[in-house]
Amino acid sequence: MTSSPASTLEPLQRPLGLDDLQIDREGRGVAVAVVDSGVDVTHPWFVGSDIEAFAIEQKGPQFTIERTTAGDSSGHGTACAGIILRLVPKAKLVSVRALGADGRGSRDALVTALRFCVREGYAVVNLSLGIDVPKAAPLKPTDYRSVLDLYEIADEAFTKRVMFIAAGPNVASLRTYPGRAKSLIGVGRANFGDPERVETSLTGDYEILAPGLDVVAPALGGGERKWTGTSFSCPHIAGHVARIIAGKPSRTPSEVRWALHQLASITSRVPLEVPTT
Amino acid sequence: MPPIRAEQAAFASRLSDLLGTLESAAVIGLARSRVRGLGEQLRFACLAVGCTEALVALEMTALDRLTIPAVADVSGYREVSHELLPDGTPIAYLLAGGAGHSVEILDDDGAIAPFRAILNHAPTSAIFSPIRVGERFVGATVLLSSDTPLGDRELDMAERLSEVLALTVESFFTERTLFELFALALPELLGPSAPTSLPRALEDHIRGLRVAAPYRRRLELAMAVGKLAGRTQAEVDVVSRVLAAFDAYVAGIEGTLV
Repeated sequence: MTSSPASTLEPLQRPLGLDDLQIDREGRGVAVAVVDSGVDVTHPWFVGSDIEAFAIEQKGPQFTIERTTAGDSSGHGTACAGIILRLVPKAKLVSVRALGADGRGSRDALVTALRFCVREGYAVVNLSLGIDVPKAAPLKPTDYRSVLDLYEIADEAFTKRVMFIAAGPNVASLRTYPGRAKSLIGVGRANFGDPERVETSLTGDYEILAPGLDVVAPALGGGERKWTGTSFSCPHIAGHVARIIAGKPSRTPSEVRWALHQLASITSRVPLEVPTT
Repeated sequence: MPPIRAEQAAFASRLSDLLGTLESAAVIGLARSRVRGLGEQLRFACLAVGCTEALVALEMTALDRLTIPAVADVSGYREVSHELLPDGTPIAYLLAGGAGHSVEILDDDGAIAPFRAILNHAPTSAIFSPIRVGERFVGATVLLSSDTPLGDRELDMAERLSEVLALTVESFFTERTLFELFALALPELLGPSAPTSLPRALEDHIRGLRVAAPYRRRLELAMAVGKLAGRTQAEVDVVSRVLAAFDAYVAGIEGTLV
């Protein structure tokens, strides 16, 4: 029995092409969760799309997940969702609004949202949210629990074939959790004119670069605008990963990652350097 | 402990009001120097980053709204004290724990609608960057440009600027939080069901507070007043006259603050 080059780690006799990667450019049958500020599902970009929306609800000290029609509080989640659907228009989008009861950020709400995504088994989870900590400052005792929670959820996602795609920091002086975890795919920002281009960049903060400068995406109110930041690089990678999974759903997370970096070597025309042992 | 007499209760209420006024005046006085610091930092940001205007929006009094204390441009800064609700703006995402990002600003853009009125220029590009104090997101830095798009380099600088601003805001918040806690505790300390004597309770609280020297002196003065008030009607009368003098003093401070 022979297997496709893209799904194994066998040495290759020739450079890979896009066809070898067996991707489905429309992302059919893949569920992509967007853990963010919500999505304005009435925006024209999403007409005819398959979208479900959930929100964190706080009941006493506990957080629960409920279906919602709350929409987007800031426009950020709508922009991320739009970037994903531009890449994989046939994917199913799941918006998980990860805000606390008062609309404020809450690490526990974020952890609850991620646990929900793993439990539901969404194939891809876009996380343009995280905890930024200055590298120059030591972690505080209160940081450790949240960071540990995020690492553990990222590990659990990996073992359950849920691909977490998380934004890295905008600046080198910050470390972003869980984006720097190695059981998920951390994403950095690049000034690529080609929206399809990605490039491998193995660092402590992330492992791959995607367009993050002046990315055109939907804006609240029905229009669109240009956005800049790693937040908008991350959904590009979520889209590519959804294409890879849709093309061959049996891929393991390691195989998905391999295919993603092969894609990077193709789109960036930079040969992928594979460490040898 | 004997119950507080009617005249003492009235006095306690008066003392509470006065302490609140005194400390408000003190905090406001310091806040103004903080605002000046923020304003100058924002002005520097305009010069260094090349943006047209810059502002900070901070959580000052309530969770659901933010206050903009200052707006700067390359020529200086102006105090504004403008309140806004973050809903519908990128600031809402920052308060949710989001990272800094740059956005193109369109005509009649809802992203800046809550503070468009205090801007002198119509921006075409903006960077929104969070201000974090510990785990809390307490506000945002907003850099605005009406000509050059704000991109990679500017976003990098904006994130660093927010870290600097956070240090200023953190000290400001620490002071304010301490006095809010004290003000919250005061009615209980002065009330008829106070578990210990007023002077003792005040002493304990003031000892427990880690405050700057000027605040400590004010609190110790308040404590001395409290001790006097725990005695006879004669002392209460004396203290009332002292409080009247304080009133005049506070009025003087407020006059200089306007």
